[in-house]
Amino acid sequence: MKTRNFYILVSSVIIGLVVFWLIMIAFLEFNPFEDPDKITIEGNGTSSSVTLSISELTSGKYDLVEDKTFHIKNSFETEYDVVYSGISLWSIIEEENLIIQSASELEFRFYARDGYSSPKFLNLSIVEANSDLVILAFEENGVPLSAEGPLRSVMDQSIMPEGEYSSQYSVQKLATITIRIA
Amino acid sequence: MGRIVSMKEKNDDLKELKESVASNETYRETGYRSKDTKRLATLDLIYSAIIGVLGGIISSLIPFSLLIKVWYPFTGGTQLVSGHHVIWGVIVYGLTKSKKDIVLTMTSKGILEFLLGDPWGLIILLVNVVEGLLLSLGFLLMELLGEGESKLGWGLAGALGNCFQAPFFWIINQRWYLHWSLWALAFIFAIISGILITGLLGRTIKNGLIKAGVPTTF
Repeated sequence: MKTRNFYILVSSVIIGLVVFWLIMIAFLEFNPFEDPDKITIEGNGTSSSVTLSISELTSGKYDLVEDKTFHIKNSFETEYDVVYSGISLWSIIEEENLIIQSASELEFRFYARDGYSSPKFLNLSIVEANSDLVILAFEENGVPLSAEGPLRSVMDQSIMPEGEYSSQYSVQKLATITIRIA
Repeated sequence: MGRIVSMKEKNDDLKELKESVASNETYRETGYRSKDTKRLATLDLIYSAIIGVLGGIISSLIPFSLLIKVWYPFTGGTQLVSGHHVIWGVIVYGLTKSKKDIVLTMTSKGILEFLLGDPWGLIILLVNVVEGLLLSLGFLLMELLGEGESKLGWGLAGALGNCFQAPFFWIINQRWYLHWSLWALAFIFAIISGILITGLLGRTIKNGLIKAGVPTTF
């Protein structure tokens, strides 16, 4: 084997090993094999942890937001509209009696199965005041979310606090919503 | 009845041809663009426009990321197929050997992506131009290192061309809060994709095109 080819082989093996161990570290940190059809709402701001399946979410118990156009803005200030259908997050919180104190004293954050999360905790009063503008979407433009789902959090830009972008809170592969005391 | 050509006539023809080739006035370098001119030939512009538009349409409208999302469990895995964004620059370089054409192709690709409504708006044009410049730099470095024609050289040039966008988009998305291992994986995947898809697949496509009879300009 030529020396040059040997170096290429050694470099490839090193890169492969680095990728392998990085993936192992990511597996220790996150659990990507959580049931994708279920979502958990938990945290010290909730009365109890609740896990709901998509069939439970769409059973009619919670408020359905159908084919609503959401205005999305990304961190480069580009704005666009997307039509989503989903379940109002506030209706789930209300129906399940999840919170034990005033929404203004609590904050929430979205977490995905793939390690992504929304940038920071936001005050829960935003969800209370805009129940149809914070949803757990299961359809985009009339098509069920597949690889990016089955659930995705969606917030309209009009209700975002200053300096926050709705695209960063549009968390695909949504797995957990944490509600904690502010 | 065929014409019988005498040896003397043959020698005269050869002599005339040699004189013609030797003469600076009559000799003309073959190919569509003379190597010693910095001007772009019409074919350079046509290749840059056609390949750039093709790249813009394919990059914008075909969701290559689905190839990864269905099996890779973490965010950032789609970087493994990100190399297709820059492959167009490699193909045009293979046909023209001009680094200017890489930037031209990536610019036309960026304009098309912008016009097709890319969520990043005009920034996508900037990203494409920077990727083109980095790819050109990669090929320049590989030429200087004597790897301008090898698979290794094309792979490394492709890696340099594709390594910019992963950290760039993650930085302007302010994804500081994500775990460091996801950052490292996304960056390494962009480099691997640059080597395999941008560099090596681009080189294979270029070879196929040349074998199929697509004219080169060098």
